[in-house]
Amino acid sequence: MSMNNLNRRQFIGNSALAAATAAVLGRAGMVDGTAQPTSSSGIKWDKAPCRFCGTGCHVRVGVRDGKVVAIQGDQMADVNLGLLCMKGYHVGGILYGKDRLTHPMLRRDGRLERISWEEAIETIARRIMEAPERFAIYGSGQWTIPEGYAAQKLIKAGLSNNNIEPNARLCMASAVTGYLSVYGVDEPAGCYDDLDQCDVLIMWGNNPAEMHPVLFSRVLERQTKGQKVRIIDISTRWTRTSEFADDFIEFKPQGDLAILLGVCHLLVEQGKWNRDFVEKHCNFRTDTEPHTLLGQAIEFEDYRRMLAEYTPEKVRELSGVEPEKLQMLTDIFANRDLRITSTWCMGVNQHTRGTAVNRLLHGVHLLSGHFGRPGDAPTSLTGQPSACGTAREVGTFGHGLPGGRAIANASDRADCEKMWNVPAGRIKAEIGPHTSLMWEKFCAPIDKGGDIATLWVQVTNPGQTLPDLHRTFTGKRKLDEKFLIVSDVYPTATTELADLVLPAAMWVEKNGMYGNSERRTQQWFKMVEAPGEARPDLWMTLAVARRLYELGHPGMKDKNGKYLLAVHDDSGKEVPVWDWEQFGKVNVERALYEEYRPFTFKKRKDVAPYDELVKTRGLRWPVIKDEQGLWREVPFRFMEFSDPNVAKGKGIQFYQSVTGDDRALIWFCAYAPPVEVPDADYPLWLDTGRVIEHWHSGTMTGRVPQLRKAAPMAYVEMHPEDASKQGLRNGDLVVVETRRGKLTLPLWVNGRGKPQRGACFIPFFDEKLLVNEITLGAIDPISRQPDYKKCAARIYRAPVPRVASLRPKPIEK
Amino acid sequence: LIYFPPGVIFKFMIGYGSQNSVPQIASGLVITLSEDLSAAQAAVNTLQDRQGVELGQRQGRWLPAALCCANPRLEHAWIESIHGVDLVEVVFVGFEDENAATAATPGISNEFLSTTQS
Repeated sequence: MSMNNLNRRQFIGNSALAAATAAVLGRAGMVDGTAQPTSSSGIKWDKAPCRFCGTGCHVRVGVRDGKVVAIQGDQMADVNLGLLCMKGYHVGGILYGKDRLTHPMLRRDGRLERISWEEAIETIARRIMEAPERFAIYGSGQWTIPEGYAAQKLIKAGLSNNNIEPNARLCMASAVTGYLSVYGVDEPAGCYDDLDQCDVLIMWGNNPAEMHPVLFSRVLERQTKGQKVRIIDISTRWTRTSEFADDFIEFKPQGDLAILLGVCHLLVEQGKWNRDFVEKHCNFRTDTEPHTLLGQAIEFEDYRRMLAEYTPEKVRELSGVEPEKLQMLTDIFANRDLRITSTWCMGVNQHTRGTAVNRLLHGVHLLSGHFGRPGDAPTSLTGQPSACGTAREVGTFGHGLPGGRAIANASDRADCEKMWNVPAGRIKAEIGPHTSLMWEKFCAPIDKGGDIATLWVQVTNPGQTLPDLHRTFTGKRKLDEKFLIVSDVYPTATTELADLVLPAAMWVEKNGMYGNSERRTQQWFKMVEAPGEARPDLWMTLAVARRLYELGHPGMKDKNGKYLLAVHDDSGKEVPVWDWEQFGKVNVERALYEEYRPFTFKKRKDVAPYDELVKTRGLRWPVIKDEQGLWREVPFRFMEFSDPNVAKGKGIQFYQSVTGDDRALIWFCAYAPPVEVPDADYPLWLDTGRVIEHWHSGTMTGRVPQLRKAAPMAYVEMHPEDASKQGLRNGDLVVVETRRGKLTLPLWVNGRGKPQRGACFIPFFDEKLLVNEITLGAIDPISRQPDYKKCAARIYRAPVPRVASLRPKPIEK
Repeated sequence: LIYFPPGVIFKFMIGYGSQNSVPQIASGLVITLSEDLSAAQAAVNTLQDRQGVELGQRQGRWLPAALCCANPRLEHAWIESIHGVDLVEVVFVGFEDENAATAATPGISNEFLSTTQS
C-alpha cells in the first residue's frame, strides 16, 4: 500500500473519530452536538438530501480532493436527526462505480459508438423536428425540481404535445388520485411529526422497517423510551416490520378493500362513527361505472346502505381476516382518545383498485374523526426522493401542469400559458398518454397506433421497472423506426435498447432540489465534478431546446418572439446556458425554480424561496411569510393551529374542497376482485417489491460493494408449507412461471420475509433476473397505476440452471 | 451491516449478506457503555486491544470510537456482544481511496461495454 493511501486512510479514520467525539460531546451537553465538525484532514462538508428514497433524510457530504470521501447523518435535519439507514451511509459510493457512463454514444449497425455532445444534441433535435408530435419524455421522481420543470415546459409550452410522464406513475399515482378525490388537492395533510405523537401506528400493506427504516426507527425509539405506541401491521406477507408489530393482520391479496369497507360498516352500524366531525367537515361520494376521479354525490343513508353488505362474515370471505380482528380495528378507530396514524406505500398504490383503497383509507379516518390533531392522520409514503417535489408538484404527468393544475381544466391551461407567456392554445387540451400507454405506443409500429416514435428517458430505468416488459419495453427491439434516448449514469436494462446514450451527472455532481413525502422542499449545491463528459440532465434539456429554437421550431418562442427557455442572471441578463461553458456561470437551478415557484401559489402549495431553502434542511409547504417577515413552514395542512390558510375559528378547513364548501369527501368504493387470480394451472399469488439493501432497480446500490454483497441477487420467497409440499428446500433453484414468462432463481424459505400460504415474493432489484418480465401490468382505471403485487404464478424445481452463472450461492441468514 | 439509531437496535437492517472481504470502511461509532462501572471499564479495556479500533475520550457512559475494517457488520456485532457495551451507534462512514471505488455490476455492465466502441 502506498504512503498516499496510508495517509488518506488515516485522514478518514481521524475524521471518523472526530465525528464520533463531536457526537459524544454533544450528547454529554459539553458542546452543540449539531455543530459542524471541522477536520484537519481537509475534508469539506456540505448538506444534501439523500439520493435514495422519499423519506428525505439529510446527509452531510464530506469532500476531499474533489471526491466524496465520507458521509454523516445530518443532526440538523428534522427528518432524520443524524440517523441514516444502511443505504444512506453508503450513498457516497454510488458515484464511483467503475462503469460510469462518461461520453455520449450513438448506436450504429448495432454497436454504440462514441460521439460528441454536439452530435448528440443535434441528433435529438433533428429527431424531434421530424415529428414533434411523436416525441415524448419519460422522467422520474428522481428528477430534480428544475430538471422536471424544464422538461415540462419544453413539452407542454414548447412542443405542445403533452407527451411527458414520470415513473412516479408506477409508484404513487393512486395516492395522488386518492388525495385529489378526497381533499381536492394532492399530498398529505400530516407529516412525519405524526409518527412522534401517535398512539397507534397502522401500516396498511407497507414495510417501513425495510423501505423507510429511518421513519420506522422514530416509532421504535419511542417504544424504547417507554412511550406506548401500538404498532399494527396489516399485510399480505410477514416482513421485518411484522417482527416489531404488536398486531399482525394477514389478509388475502385485494382484501384490503374489504377490510376498510368492513371497518366503515361497523363504525356506522355500531354507532361509533364521529357524527360531529362528519357533519361539520365531510360530504359523501360513491364510485361510478365507468370510474371517474370525482364520482357521484350521495347522502349518508346511501353510504350506509352501500356498506351494508360488508358484514364481518363477508369481509372474512373476501380478505381472510377474522371478525374479531375487524372489530379490534373498529374499536381502535372508535376511540376518540387515541391518536391514529396510518401509513401506506406500494401495497396500496400498486393495485388495480389503488384509488379506491386510498379513498377508503382517508375515509375511515374522516368517518371516525381521526384527523386534525398531530398524530391523527392518514399519510402516504413515497419511494423516490422527489416523486412529490417534481412529479406531483411540477406536474410532469401527461395530464398535469405545474402547481397542481390539470391539462383538462381550461382555466389551468390559460394560467400556465399566461405565466409562460405563450399564445392561447399553445398547451393542448388533450391529455398525454399515461406511462403504460406511452410505452405500448412506443413498442408498436407507427402505422398501428404506435404514435410515439422518439422517447427520451431521463433518470430512470424503465427496462427493468415497467410491468410486463415484453409488452411495454422489449417490443421496441424490432422497430427500426423507433428511437430510444437514455440519459443515465450507468449501463442499465434500459440502455441495452438505447439508440443514443447520454452520460448524466448525478446527485452532488450538480445543483439540485427535491421534495420529500411530507411536502418538504430541499436544496443542495454541486460538490464534485461528474466524470468524463457526463453532464446534468437539466443542461441536456436546455441544450436540445435551444437547438430546436435555432432550427426554427415555432414552439421555442414565446408570444413576444423570445426564446422560451431563456435563463437570466440576477441582473436580468440572458445567459446562454445551452453552451456548456456558460452553464456553470449562473445558478440555473435557482433561476428555473424561482420561475416555477409562482405556479405553486394558486393551489396554496407555496414552496419556499430558493434562498430560504439554502439556509435550511428543507421546508414544508405551504411556506408563508409571517407578520415578522419570517418564512414559516406548515407541518399540518388544513388545521388552524398550523396552517395560516385556514380561516380563524374554523379549526379544520379543507380549503381546496372538491365540493367548494371546505369539506372533504368520504367515499364508498365497492370491492372488486383482482384481474388475475390463481387457478389450477397457476396456483400461487406472485408479489414483487424491494429489499433494504437496494434502491429500486439497483443501478446505484449495485455499485456499492457492501450493499451488493449483502444482497447479491434476486430470490423467491415461499411459505414453508408450500415449499415442503413440492419437496423444495432453501437454496433450491426453482422456476417461477406466469402467463407472461418465467424466471429461474433460488428459493428462500423462512428468510426475512414470509409470504402467506399460496403466495410467493420476488424483489425487483436484480438486473439479471427481471421479475417484471412476468408481472401482469393491469392498471387502476383512474390513476392508471399498474398492479405489481398480484398475479398468478406457479413454481417448480428448475430442471437445469438456465445459465451457469445463475447457480446461486447458498443464502446466509 | 448493522446500524443503530439512538436507543434502537436496528435488527431489521441486518442484511443476510456475504462474509466476503470488501474494501476497508472507516466508521465513527458512539458506544454506550453499561451503567455497571466495572463492566464498562472491562469493555473499554477489551476495545483498546482490538486491532482496527481507535478510541476517543470517554464522556460518562459514551465512548467515541473509530473503526476501520473490511467487514463492519461482523465488527459491530462483536462490539455489541462485549459485556459492558449497551449500544453501538454509527455516526460516520468514510470511503477509502481508490480501493473503495466500487465495481461494476456483474451483469449488464460487462455486456454493455462489450457492445460499445470507445
